Amino acid sequence: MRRSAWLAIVGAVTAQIAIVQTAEAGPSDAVLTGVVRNPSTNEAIEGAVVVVTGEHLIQERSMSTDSNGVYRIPNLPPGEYEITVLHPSGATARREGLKLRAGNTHRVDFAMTPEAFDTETIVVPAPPVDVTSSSTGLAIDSEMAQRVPIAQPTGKGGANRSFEAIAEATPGANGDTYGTSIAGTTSPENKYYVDGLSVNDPGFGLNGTALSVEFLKEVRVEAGGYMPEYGRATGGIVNAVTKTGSNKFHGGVWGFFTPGALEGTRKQPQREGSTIQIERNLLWLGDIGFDVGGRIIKDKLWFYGGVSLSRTVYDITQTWNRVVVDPTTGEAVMDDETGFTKTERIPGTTDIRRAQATTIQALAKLTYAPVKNHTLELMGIYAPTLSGGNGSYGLDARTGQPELVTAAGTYDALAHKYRDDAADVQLKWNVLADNNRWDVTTILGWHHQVNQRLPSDGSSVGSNEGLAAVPWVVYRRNNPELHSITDFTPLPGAAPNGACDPFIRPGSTAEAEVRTVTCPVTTYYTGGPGFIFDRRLNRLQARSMATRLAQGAGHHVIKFGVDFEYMQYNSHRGYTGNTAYRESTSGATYSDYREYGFLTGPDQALILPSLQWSVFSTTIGGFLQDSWSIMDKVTLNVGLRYDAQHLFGGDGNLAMSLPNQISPRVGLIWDPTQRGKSKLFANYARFYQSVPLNLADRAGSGEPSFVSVHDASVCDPANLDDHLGACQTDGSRVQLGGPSDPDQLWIVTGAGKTPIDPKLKPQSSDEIVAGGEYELIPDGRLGVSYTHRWLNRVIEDMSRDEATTYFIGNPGYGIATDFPKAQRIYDAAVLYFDKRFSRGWLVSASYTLAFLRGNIAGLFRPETGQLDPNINSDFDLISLLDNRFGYLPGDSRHTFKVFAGGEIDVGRGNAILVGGAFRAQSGSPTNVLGSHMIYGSDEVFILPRGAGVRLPWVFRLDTNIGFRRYFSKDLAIAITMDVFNVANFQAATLIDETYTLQDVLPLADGTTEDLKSLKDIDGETVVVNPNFGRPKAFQTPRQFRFGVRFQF
Amino acid sequence: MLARSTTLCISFALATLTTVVASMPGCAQPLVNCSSAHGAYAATFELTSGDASSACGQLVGDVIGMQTYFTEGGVNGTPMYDKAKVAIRAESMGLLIERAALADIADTTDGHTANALGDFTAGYPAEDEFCEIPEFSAAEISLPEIPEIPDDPETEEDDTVPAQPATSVRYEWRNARILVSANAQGTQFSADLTYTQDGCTAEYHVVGVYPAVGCELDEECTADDSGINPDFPTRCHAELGLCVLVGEPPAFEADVEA
Repeated sequence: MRRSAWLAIVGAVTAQIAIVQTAEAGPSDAVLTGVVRNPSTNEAIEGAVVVVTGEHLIQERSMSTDSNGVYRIPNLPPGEYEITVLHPSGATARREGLKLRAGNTHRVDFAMTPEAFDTETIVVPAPPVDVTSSSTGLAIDSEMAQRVPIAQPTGKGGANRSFEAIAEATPGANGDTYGTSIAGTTSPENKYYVDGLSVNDPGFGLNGTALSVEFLKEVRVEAGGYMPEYGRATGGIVNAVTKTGSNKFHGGVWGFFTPGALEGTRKQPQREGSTIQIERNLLWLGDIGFDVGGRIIKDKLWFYGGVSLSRTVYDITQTWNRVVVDPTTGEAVMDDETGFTKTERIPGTTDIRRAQATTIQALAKLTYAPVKNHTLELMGIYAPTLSGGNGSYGLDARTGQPELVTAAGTYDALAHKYRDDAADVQLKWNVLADNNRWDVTTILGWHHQVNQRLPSDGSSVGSNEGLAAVPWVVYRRNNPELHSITDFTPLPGAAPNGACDPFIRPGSTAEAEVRTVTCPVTTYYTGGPGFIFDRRLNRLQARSMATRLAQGAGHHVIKFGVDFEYMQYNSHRGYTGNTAYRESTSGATYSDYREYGFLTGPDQALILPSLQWSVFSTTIGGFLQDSWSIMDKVTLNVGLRYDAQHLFGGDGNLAMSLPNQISPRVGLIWDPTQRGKSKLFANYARFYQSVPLNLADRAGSGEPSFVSVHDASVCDPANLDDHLGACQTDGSRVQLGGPSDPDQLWIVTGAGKTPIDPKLKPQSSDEIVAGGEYELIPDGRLGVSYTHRWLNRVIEDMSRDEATTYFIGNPGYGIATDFPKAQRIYDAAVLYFDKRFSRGWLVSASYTLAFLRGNIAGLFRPETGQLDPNINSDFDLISLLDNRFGYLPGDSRHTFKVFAGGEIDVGRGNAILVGGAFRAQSGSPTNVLGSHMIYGSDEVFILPRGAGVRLPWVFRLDTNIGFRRYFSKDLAIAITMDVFNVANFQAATLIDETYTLQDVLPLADGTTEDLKSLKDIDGETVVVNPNFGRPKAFQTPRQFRFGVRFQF
Repeated sequence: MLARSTTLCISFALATLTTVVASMPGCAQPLVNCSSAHGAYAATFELTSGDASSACGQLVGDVIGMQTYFTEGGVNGTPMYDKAKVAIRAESMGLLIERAALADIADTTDGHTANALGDFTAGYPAEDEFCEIPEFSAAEISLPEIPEIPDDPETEEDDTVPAQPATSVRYEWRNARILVSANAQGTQFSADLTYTQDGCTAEYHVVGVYPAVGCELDEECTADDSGINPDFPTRCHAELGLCVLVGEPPAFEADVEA
């Protein structure tokens, strides 16, 4: 064969394969790529013009093929597209019906002969396998979000079906206390985006804008293996892509309703009886909304906007119960079956209050194409949530659950009024140049949040008015006897007279009366609601990134960018009435349990009515990555990301410096079919965590606080006159200081800032993923992946001297070398099949086998719910360190998830909609916990982590059935009914892990057998919590959601 | 036109980068503010001047209480952490007051005359990680003779409190140096002391470690849960029954081993 012929063949093959690999698409858009060649000669066709049009593309895009016949058109909004190729000779070819997904690169090749002048039109699906990317995850488009019941109505983001709630459908993802955990991490470690705008709560890292999926075209979850363009997160990347306008008017109106009356029977946990018992039952929840999109100027200016209103209402039923007393002995009667003290309901004591929350979300978006190849997009979101107040309880915005965990208190002391607002504005500018070889996107964005937790009367932090001026008082006397609830609240009028009177033991004399309190309370809260806050948070962002297509030993897609973020957190907090008082167990004194203030001289106290810090951080980062097809066989994705974060305290001074976060990422992808039908991939990545500002606020600014103790005979804090008068005098204060203490009346509990180990390094994790995917059927891919992810250094606060002094460092490094290194190791194998909606059906199924172990869960503590990112109590004290390594709460060994939806055409424009979700998950490990002498309950791992029983498997089947009537292609109405937990399974999802309330130390490497001889720190045999190991919560019962949707 | 836009975009990016890099702080972590620990130190006293056989020349050590007070006037009413003063109070002096208080002759909370107060010279430690307080006000008490409290015949134990002769005691502290870093947050100090008791004066060099931990054996001082930083070289001072620092601040195990 002649040399030139060889060259021609090699050239043709090169052209065919080279485009298999071009770099990743951006988070909110798709990339279309392919090669145009002559099938008879296999030669690449240079100079063919590829024209792309789509309903959601404001102006058509075109590009001419290069010498290898390659075209690549980036920055396409997800949606349906048409491609036309014009051969230099005049022949044309066309592909229609291409559905492109955000974050994916789709390959479509063309074979054209110059002789064939006929137009060839084929409807083809876009290939489901993205052969340019080694990232794992899931794209949930609006078809799946609407047809499959993914998000349970109750729970965080349930009422308006927020995008993070449906992210849980991703293989390897699980719901956790504050959101969705991805690849064994905790939800605050994720990065949340709306159209590329970072919306993480700057203070705590949670999702700050819980946008409804109704406004979204797609939710894309990058679980791992992602490129350097994504950073500042050790979890996953969750990106919501909003809908856009088009030249046609489109819109919809929807309404969904979940009645509480149709709920399945709720299994109530059986607990040691308490006088006040509460039941929380859903009354109803629902949402209504509309959206509309269209054009203002054809092909120039489009708009999209919508409003949704959602509301959740719970009934909180409270009843009084009295202890059943043996009339002869006067002792409380025990229930042999449960081992609990027997109680009986007192008639006429039922009291029902509501817990409620209302959310409004409004979104508006303009898309403008001033000239060819320039697109400007302006988006605004406003989403306020109001909850509680006016006689009702609130819902905790961070968990979506009613705030009330105990009813042992008055309404004023337990209820709050919440306001949680999110607002976002973003301007995005995209420029394409040099025949689409340059693609430059610049984003300016602002995310704003207001988070308020105020007294139920709405009075403000630090105010002298209303409940904000009333101190919180915690009663907890247990010696010589417990308080009766009637010490604080009169018996309801409808109850029998004297129902709560103490039982006088027979035979006891008037002088030495022996009594049994029949309506006892171990703790009871009165006064104002205690801790309240008003937080304002801002996140300003400026990002610019450029993509360049280049040739050289194959094809390169080079991407680089810079990224700047300024986060600010203004935290105004305080205790109502300046002070939270706590009664001593003898009832003789009250301590200023919580009080902000400081001493200016010996016993010279300055009480602060509130504490207000405004802290901020700057983060500058940049990345450079290349997606290079080497010798046209494999793609090498290689890149580097650099970030530097600096946190500043309330005094404006530097609080923590986290420079030199260098994240290398390397991936290798090979398509064995060389036709875009399959891939084998492996990827290594390092991820660095952005530190939320709560650390700069609490540890970086200081929380000046102190305590004094008042003689109960002089100061009765429940009496406001006493609180403002006698309680403020030194005459009411008892001596606390010893002979060496410069202060005799006050103890300083929180002073200045927490020092930082000078050798501190940023928190990071490493990950290796490998796997393969194959296009099994059109639109459907079968895949398998393996993930190994581990933590490197972790930032935490520690004390080497048992809470005497604290510092922030890396456990196991620097001055903290005598602490164990932080560990969290995640291994998972995932088998998945994903078929997007086409030809009337979709399915997304996965099985995950996962192992998660370590000595830290992440940015919050699942055992106690503590959310103080990077300053949780995981490593605080040396006496707490034993037994910390083991299987973490997120360790669910087996997880099956199947999501499916379909539409059956029954003729005459009518269709039946069916969908369903099935989940089966093996249970999480539990722990055996005890109280610590300094840190209090549940802080000691008595036995090694995970030594408790495993929770049972949890099964859940959710279904969707509906009817849709098409009046025309674009005009339809659908009525649907979702049933969640069809079988009303009631497996325990939480058990009581508190083994004892007494102060104990860990039994290093102890076993269940050792528990029998467990002694507290004073050498006394411990009293086992009667509720230990008993269920605290069960699965959400069966729920119905009815929906109607009108689309045009 | 297009090329110009591209240039604009890239220029913008570079401008952002330059601005931010120019305004970026360094890589070092912030310094810790000057502060003492908040509580009791175990201190050894070394006689530097005076008659070792005199009544005032025989001090071996004591428990020394310290507290740091911040000046008001910070952001939103918060303290100014870089403007602080320190109080020192010797336990033996506090005990004399407690005894007097038991006889209703003094009030433990009144006057705070047992406290010596001095200002830090700076808000942050110097390069050697020490914060200095060159001068203190004098701590001084003068008590009359306090009669014996006789045994209460109702109780089984002998709870006689012996009489206390009239006494006047004066502590004049100076040249206090407190070690302040992330690893030793005011938990080691040294100072010079002029001690006067009933007209007898002696001078001492005092070294303290925080917190004051009682002991009988050295092992108790190095136990993980003692509360003393495990990097500090300590031993059990038999006479005092307290864990005391070995060496002059800054004292660290690594230096001792080296």
